[in-house]
Amino acid sequence: MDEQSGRRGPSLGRPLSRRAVLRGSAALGGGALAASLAPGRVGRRAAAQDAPKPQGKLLSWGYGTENPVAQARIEDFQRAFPDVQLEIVPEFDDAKLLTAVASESVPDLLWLDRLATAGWASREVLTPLADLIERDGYDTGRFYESALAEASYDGQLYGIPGSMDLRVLYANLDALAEIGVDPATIDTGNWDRLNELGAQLVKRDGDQIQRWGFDHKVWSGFFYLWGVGNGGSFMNDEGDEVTFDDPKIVEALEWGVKGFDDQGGFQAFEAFKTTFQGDEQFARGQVAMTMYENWMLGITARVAPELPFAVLPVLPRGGGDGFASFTGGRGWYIPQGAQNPEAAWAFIKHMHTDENWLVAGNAAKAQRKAEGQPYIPSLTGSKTADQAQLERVYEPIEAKFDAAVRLFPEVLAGSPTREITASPGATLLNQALENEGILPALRKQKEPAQALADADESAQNELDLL
Amino acid sequence: MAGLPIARPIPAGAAKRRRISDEALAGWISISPWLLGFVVFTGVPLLASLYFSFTKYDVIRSPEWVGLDNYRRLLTNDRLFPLALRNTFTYALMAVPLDVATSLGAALLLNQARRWQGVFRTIYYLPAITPAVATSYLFIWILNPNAGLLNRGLRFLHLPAPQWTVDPFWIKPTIVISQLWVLGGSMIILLAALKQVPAPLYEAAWLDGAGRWRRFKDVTLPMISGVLFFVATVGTINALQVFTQGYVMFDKNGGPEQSALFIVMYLYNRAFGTGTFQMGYAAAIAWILFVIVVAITVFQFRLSKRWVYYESGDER
Repeated sequence: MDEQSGRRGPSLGRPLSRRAVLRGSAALGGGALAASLAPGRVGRRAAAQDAPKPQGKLLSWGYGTENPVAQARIEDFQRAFPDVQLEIVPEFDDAKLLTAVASESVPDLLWLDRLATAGWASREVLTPLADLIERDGYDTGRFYESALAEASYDGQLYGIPGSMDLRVLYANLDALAEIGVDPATIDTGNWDRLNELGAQLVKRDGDQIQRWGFDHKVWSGFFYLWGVGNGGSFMNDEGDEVTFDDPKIVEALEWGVKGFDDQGGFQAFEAFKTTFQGDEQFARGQVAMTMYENWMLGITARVAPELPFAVLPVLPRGGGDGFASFTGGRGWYIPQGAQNPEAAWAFIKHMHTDENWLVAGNAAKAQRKAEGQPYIPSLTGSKTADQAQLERVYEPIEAKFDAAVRLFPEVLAGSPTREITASPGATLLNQALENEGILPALRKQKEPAQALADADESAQNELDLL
Repeated sequence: MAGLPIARPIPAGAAKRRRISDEALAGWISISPWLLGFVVFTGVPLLASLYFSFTKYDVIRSPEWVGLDNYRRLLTNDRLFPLALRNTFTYALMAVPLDVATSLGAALLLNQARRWQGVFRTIYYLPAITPAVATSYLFIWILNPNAGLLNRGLRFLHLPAPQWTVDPFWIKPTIVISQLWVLGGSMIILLAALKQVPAPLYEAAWLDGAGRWRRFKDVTLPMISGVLFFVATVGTINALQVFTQGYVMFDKNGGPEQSALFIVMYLYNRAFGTGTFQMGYAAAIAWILFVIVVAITVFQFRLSKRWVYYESGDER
C-alpha cells in the first residue's frame, strides 16, 4: 500500500465527500469541488514559469482529428508548442489500454469517457493531477462542478473535462399542433402529462408504427435522470451499497413502463426503432417527442433545419430545484508511467484555454457556412469557454436554435452527475440495472419492483466483488 | 590372426533400434516448429488459464488466489451464467440438426446435378467464405421486423410476420437462419462422402427392388454415417462456441431479454467488457465450457457406436 500511495502522489488538501460532490454538483452556483481543487493563488503563476519547457514526443490516444473542431484545436496547440511532436492515435479500447498498462508502454495522454475514471483510477492507471494543479496554480473553477466530480475518484482529481453532454426534451411542433397542444403549455414537471402526450402523438398504419409519440429513453441509460428526478437514489451515501429498489426508483420505472404501454408497448417500439438511422429519428419525424443529449440539436440542424421544434428542460417530478438531467462527457488524463507528462500537462492546459476553443469555434463555423449549415457550439466542460463561444463565435440562427443554445449552459449548471460514476464498478452496475432491472420490466418479463430488486441483488454482488 | 580386426556382426535389433531412433529424431525435428508453437501459444496459455481460473486477476494487478470462489459463484450466484448456458444449448440444439440436414440436402441435390455441378458447388460455398460480420449484418436487415425483405414478403402473402430480431422467442431462430445460409463447409464434406459411396451397392439394392427412399436409408446413410458423425460433432463444438452472430446482430449483452447472450459472449464481457477485466472469472467460464464440450463430445462418440458404420470395420 505504501508503494501504491507513493505512486498516487500527495492528496488534495481537503478530501471530498463523494456524496457532497454529487449533490453539490447539482446545485446551481455550487462550487465546493472547484474551490477545493483550485489553489486560486495568483502568486503561484510565478511557479508555473519555472516549470520545464515541454518538448519531445507526445503520444495521445483516443482523440481523433476528423472533425473541424478537433483539427483546429490540435493545430492551435502545435503552433503554440512547436517543440512537441504530437502523435495521435484516434481510437483505442479498454483492452488496448489494459495491454499497454500491463506492458508498461502507456501513451502520454488519454481522452477518456469520464464514467471510466473510477475504474482506471482505482487500478492506479491514472495520474492524480493535484501536484500539477498546485504547482501551476491552475484554476479548475472554470469547469462545471459535475464534470469535475465525474473526473474524480476518492477525493482526487484525475482528469480535466474536455466535453460535456446533457439531456433535454425535443418536441416536434408540427406533431404537437396535430393534437392541438401549444408547447408553451407543457409542464415538464408533470410527467404523467408527458406520457399522455406520447400516447396521443403515436401514429400507426395498421399494425405498423409510422411515428412514435414520446421516447423517454428509460431503455437507453436515461433512467438515472427519471429516478433521481422522482426523488430516488441509486446508491447509499457511502457509495458501497446500491439502492435500485428504492421505492422512488421503482415508481419512476413504473412510470416509464406505463409510458411505453400507453403507446403500444416496448416491443412495438423496439421493432420500430430498428428503422432509426444515425440518431436522426427526431429530425426525420420518426419520433414526435424525445429525450436526448444536446447533440441532437446539431443533428437536427444538419438533417432538417426547417423542422419546427422546441427544446425543453425537464423538471423534477412535480417541480423543484435543478433539472431532471445528468451530465456526462470526456476528459483528458495522464496515465501513470507516461514518458512525457510535462508535455501532456501543457497540452491539457492549452486545450482548455478559452482562446483554443474560440479558434475551434471559428473553424467549425467557417466549415458549416461553407456547407450551408448553421453552426452550433460544442459544449466544452468549461463555463468560460462555453460563454466565450456563445458570445464571440455563435451567430443567431433562428429562435428555436438560439433558445436551445442559450438553454444548455443553464441546464448543465443544474444537472447532477450519475451517482454510480463514483464507483469503480460503474459500468457493471449500469449493466445490471439495465439488463436485469429496466429492460425486463419494459418487456413485461417482470414487475418493475421485482426487476429492480433482482438488479439490485446482482449489482450489489458485483460491487462486493470489487 | 592376432591383431587383425575382427568384424563382429552387429545385432540386427540394435541396427533397427538406431534406425528407428534416427527416424524418430528426424520426426521430432520436423514437427518441432509446430511443437514449439503449440507449447508457447497453446499449452502454456491453456495451463495459465487454468491457474487464473482460481484467482482474481485484472492483468494490471497480480493474481490473487481465491480457490474455488470463481466456480462457486458461477454455479450458485450468477444470474447470467445459467442464462448464457441455456441460450447456448438451445441454439446448438436448433442449429446443429438443421445444419446437418440442410447441408445433406444440398449435397444430395448437388450430387444429382448432371451439369454445372462445379458452378453450383461454388455458389453454395460462397457464403462460407463471406465474413461472419458481413452475413450477420445482411441478415439483420433481411429479418428486420418492420422493413426487412422477409417480412415484406410475408405481409404481401398475408402471412404473419414474426418480430424476428425483437421478440425474444424469435432471436435464436433468427441466428440459426442466418447460419443455415453458411452451410458450404459441411455440404462440401458431405458431397465428397456421397461420391465415395460405391455404385455397385446402389445397383445391388436396385436389383433387389429397393426404391429411392430405401436406397437412401439403407445404402447412402450408413455409408456416409462416419462423415455425418464428423459434421455433427464439429458442428456441435462450433455451436457451443457461437459468438460473432450474437455479438454483431444484437449487442454484447445479447439483445432482447439477453436471448442471444451465449457463453463465449458472456466470457468475453467478463474478460474485456468496459471496466470489467475479470480474467480469473472469465477463465473459470472457459474451463466450464471446455468440460461441457469434452463431455458432449465423449457422449457423441459413445452414441456413435450405435449408428455409425465404418466400412473398414474399425470403429475408430
